[in-house]
Parts: sequence; structure tokens; C-alpha cells
Amino acid sequence: MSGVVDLHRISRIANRLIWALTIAFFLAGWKIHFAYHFLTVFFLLLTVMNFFYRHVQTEHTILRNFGILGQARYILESLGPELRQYLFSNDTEERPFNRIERSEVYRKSKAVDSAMSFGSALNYDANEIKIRHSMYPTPKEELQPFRLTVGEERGVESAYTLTKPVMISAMSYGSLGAPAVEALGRGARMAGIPHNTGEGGWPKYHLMTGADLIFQMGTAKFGVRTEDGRLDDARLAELSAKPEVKMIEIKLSQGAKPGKGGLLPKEKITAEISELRGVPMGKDVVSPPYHAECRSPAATVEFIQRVQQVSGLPVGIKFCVGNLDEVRTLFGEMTKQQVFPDYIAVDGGEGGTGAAPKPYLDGFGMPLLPALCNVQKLLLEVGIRDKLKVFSAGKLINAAKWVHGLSLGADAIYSARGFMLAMGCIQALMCGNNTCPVGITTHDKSLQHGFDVEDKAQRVKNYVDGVDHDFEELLLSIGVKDAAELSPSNLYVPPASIISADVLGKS
Amino acid sequence: METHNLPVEKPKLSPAALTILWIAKLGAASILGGAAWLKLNGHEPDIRLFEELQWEPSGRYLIGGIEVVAAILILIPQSAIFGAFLGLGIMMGALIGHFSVDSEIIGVFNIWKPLTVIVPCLVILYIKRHDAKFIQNLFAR
Ligand SMILES: Cc1cc2nc3c(=O)[nH]c(=O)nc-3n(C[C@H](O)[C@H](O)[C@H](O)COP(=O)(O)O)c2cc1C
Repeated sequence: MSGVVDLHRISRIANRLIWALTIAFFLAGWKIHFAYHFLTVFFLLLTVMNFFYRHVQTEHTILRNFGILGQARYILESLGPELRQYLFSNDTEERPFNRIERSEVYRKSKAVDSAMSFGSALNYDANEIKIRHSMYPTPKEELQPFRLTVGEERGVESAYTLTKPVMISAMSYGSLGAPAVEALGRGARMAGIPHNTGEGGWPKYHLMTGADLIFQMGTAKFGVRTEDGRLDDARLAELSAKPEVKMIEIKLSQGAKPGKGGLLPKEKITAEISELRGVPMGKDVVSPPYHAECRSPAATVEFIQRVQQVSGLPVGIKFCVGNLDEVRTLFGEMTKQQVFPDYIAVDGGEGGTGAAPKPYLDGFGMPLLPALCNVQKLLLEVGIRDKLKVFSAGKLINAAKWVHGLSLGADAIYSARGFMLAMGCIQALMCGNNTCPVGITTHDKSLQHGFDVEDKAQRVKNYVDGVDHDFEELLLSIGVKDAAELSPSNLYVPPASIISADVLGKS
Repeated sequence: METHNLPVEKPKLSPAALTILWIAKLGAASILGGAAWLKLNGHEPDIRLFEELQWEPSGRYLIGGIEVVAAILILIPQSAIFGAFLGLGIMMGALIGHFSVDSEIIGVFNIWKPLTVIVPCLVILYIKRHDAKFIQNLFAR
């Protein structure tokens, strides 16, 4: 606390001033006018408080040393994120998404032109991946519309065809409030893309919107579980029979907290949640870190087959890449049993979540791009790349990022936070506190008040349309006619990039 | 998602604490309300007091008004803390005033009446200390 301003000295002066002023105002109240006692009382309260801070409480050193002025530090600290975001952070500094990235999503979602002038604001000499354009761009008429049929390899009757390269990634009712789920669903329906339900149980609110759904089965199998947490075939069959439910996703792990299940405390289990998730009230519900049925590669593949048979729908698995040998073994087991999921969703370690312990958010999971490269390599190595589709998720929120993902092996893009931003997320980072200021990840009615479902659904649609439009333009410039033609050779990967070893050999 | 998705919970009050809280609230609010009623209706001793303070009638209405506000705030759960602070302040003013006013009036303006508000206000603040960081800091060990 040294330097130009000696805060300690100032606080010592302030601490004396407080009681000196108390006495002064008392005298003024006595001799001049009684009204001065308003100030006497105010300063008396400050004096008492200051005394407590400095001599009674022992938890906060700053308050003991600096008294009431120290409180300013706590106030500033609690305002820190807002101050940094609004005043002090530059446009490329914020995480997970910086202002440039966010502004682009906001503009797309409001269908406002997002052209910029003069030049890139990014650090162009840094080790960023860039897209290679062609000297001979594709004429617009030659561009093929995007089509991807999931389940075609297996010849499933109810194979599902995507007509846009993007889908709404898993976000459960629970992590999101009902209005946000509704806006996402309605927007997805308008845009013609599927909406993943997340692992929040029976998708009551998702079903209301009429969007195509990918039902996600988390490790606790909320919504389709037996009492001991195993798969309830009858429930799954019942759900799969709903016309809205198009695909089933078995979540093995997710990038934000790979290898970890969650805990839903009993206080949060309302009658509704208890019914939707199929769990008893009055008891904490622990999501295990793994599926009870999937304790070995063989068992996992058998489980995939079981879900395919019970549901009759395309079935995918979602995981975040950890150990590549395990992934290779799993693929080998698929070959051995000749059972393949209809898709694999690769979630990057940078993935988002409603809430996860910090070490998991920050310290676990392979980042998306290397994970994708490696999964692609293993699929080719084992010889099963043509047996399934690959989806990818991890901050793929604009057209250039879609190209990155699709070039490195993905067939389609999952986005979760892109859609939150489109609905007006301001990255306040409060998803886990029920205090989301824009009414997305909260169940607080007073915070949902400002969230207009109609308007936000339109923004979801605009966002999809806007980015898809950009994406088509990029394909033309790259010189391909179809998104399926994209390959690593379409990317410029600088030597220092984390994926250069995976890509450079090929380009 | 899931799970640790909890708002940071404040500790739940025990039934005993809740009972005491409400007794304190009703006590403080009724005494404040009564005092305000007398002031605003021109109760004779109050008029004399404020004449003595050379603050009649504006001061009488001002203080009476503040007492009404404090009583109402105390009764509303979300604002009880602010009400308690206001009640505490106004009655500390009364106590302090006590020392700077001529002795004949002290009969009216006795020392016990402020205490019947100050004590319940302190009780409210203590029980509800978790609602405000700056009060919680006072009791941090
Ligand atoms: C609020 C929120 C809730 C999520 N809930 C789930 C979930 O229930 N199941 C799941 O597999 N992933 C969940 N995710 C992870 C996303 O589906 C996605 O995999 C990850 O955020 C990476 O995509 P992104 O970078 O586009 O957000 C959630 C993410 C967020 C932000």
C-alpha cells in the first residue's frame, strides 16, 4: 500500500475524522440546531461500525487494518467484473468470448450488417488458424445445399437429415429457465435446425415448441431411468415414439467437466423436476460420472446397440477426448461388434456448462481442434470413418469457426453458447447462481421478466440464417461446391499452432 | 449442465429465530408507529418538545414521517434491514437529543422509550445479518 497515495495513512485520518465529526455534529446539534443530530447519528453509526471492523471481527484483515475505507475495496472487487467488462477490457481480452466475437453474434441475431471497416482488429501475426481462399472461387449457382443424413449408414428408417450445418447443443431445462428453452425451441423450428434437450429429463418444455429434438441421456438418464439409475427401456421407447424426437444422444462426458457427474441438491427438486427427471423428492440426486451400463468398451458398444434397438432412431454419443488409447480401443470394439453409433459428438475441453467445479472447467479435456484432428485420424486408422458422422462443439460461434471444425473432420457443428449470446447473454458468468441478469439461466421470475420469448426466438433464427449465409459465402471463396469437400488443406495452420503437427503433414 | 446450479443459499432461520425476529419487528414497528401517530396528530407534549427545539412544526412532521417509513420498512421482509437501520438512527437521535435538551422536558422525552425501539432493531439486524455483506462483516470471526 505504498506509492503515490498512502492508503494506510488516508485510512488512519479517515478513522479519526469519523469520530471527530461525530462529536462536532453533536455539538452543532446541541448549540445550533437539533437537525444536526441527523448527521450526529449517521457518524455515530459509522463510528460503531468502524470499531467493530477494526477491533471485533477477525476474519477480514483489510477491514481490521483500514476500517470502513477497506469496505470500498470489497465493493470495488465485487464490481470488478462489470468495471472490467464495460470500462477497462479491450475488445480482444475477455474470456471465454471477447467483445469482437460477441458483437458479431449480437449483430447476426439482430439481423444487422456485421461488415467492418479498415482492417482486422485481431493480431494478424499471431498463431491463429486462417482459411485459405482459392484463386478460382466457386460461382454461386454451383454451390450445393447442405445436406447430411444421420443414420443412413445403418439404413435406419427414421434417418434424420440436417439441412443446415449447425444444431443447438445440449442445454438442459434446469440450467436454462423455461423461457430460454422456449425461445431456443421456437427459433430452432423457424430456422429448421434440431434442438438438443440436454440431460435435464423428460423434455416437457422442449416438446412444447414443436422443434425437432435430439434427446440427450446423461449419466443419470433423467427422464428415462429406473429407480436405481439404469435405462428404463419402456420410457425410452415411449419418448422415442414422439414425432418431435428425432435422435438420441448418449452423453459419455462433456468438455466443461469431463469425468465428473453432478449433484442436484434436494432443495432444488420441486414436484415438477422430480417428475421430469424421474427422481424422488426430498433426497439429493447424484449424477454418476459414468453410465452404470458402460463400464468397459464392450459394454459401452452393447449399450449403444440397445439404445438403437429400443428407440429405433439414430443414436449418437457425445464425449470430450481424454485418453486417445481409450478412444482407439472403443473404435476397435465397435468394429469387432460391427455396431456403430450414428454419430460422435466431440466436445472440446473449452466447452461451457451451467456450473462445474473450476479445476474441471480450466484443467480437464483436450481442446476441440486437436481432439477433432485426433478423432478423425483414429476413425480413418481403424477404418470406420464411413460408418458414422462427426459433430463438434467448442466455441464454434461464427462462420469461420464452422469452417475450422468442418475442415478438421466434423460433418456438422454444435453450438450452445453461440445461441445463448444470440438470445442476449452478456457473459455475466452467473449461470450457476440463478441470478442471470438477462433471464436465460435463471428460474427467477423477476429476472425472466425482461426476456421476451417471441423476440429472442426470432434472434435465434436470425443468428442461424446470418451465420449460414456467411458460411456459404466462405465456401464459395474457398472454392468448394459442398461443405463435405472441406479438408485440412483448406486451412492455413501456422507452425506454432497446437494442431500443426496433426495438420501440416497433410496440407 | 447441472447441478451445482444453486443460488448461494442464505442459512435458513430456525423457527425460534423466526419467532424472535417477528416479535422484534412487531414491537419496533408498533412503537415507531405509535410515536409517529402522536407526532403527526399534534399530541400536546410533542408540540411542546419541538417548540423547545425550535423546530415546530416542520421537524415534528419530518421525524413523524421518518418513523412511519421506518415502521413500514421493518414490516416488509425484503426491507427489514433498512427499516431497522432507520429506526435505530431515529431513536439514537432521540437519545442524543435527550442530552442536549433542557431538563424539564426530559420527563416527556424519557430515555426508555428510544430503547424500546433500539433493542428490537438491533435484534433484527443481528438475525438478518446474512442479508447484507457489510453487516455480516461486523460479526465475522
Ligand atoms: C448453460 C449450459 C448448459 C449445458 N448443459 C449441458 C447438458 O445438459 N449436457 C451436455 O452434454 N452439455 C451441456 N452443455 C455443454 C454444451 O452442450 C456444449 O457441449 C459446450 O458448451 C460447448 O459448446 P459451445 O462452446 O458452443 O458452448 C451446456 C452448456 C451450457 C453453456
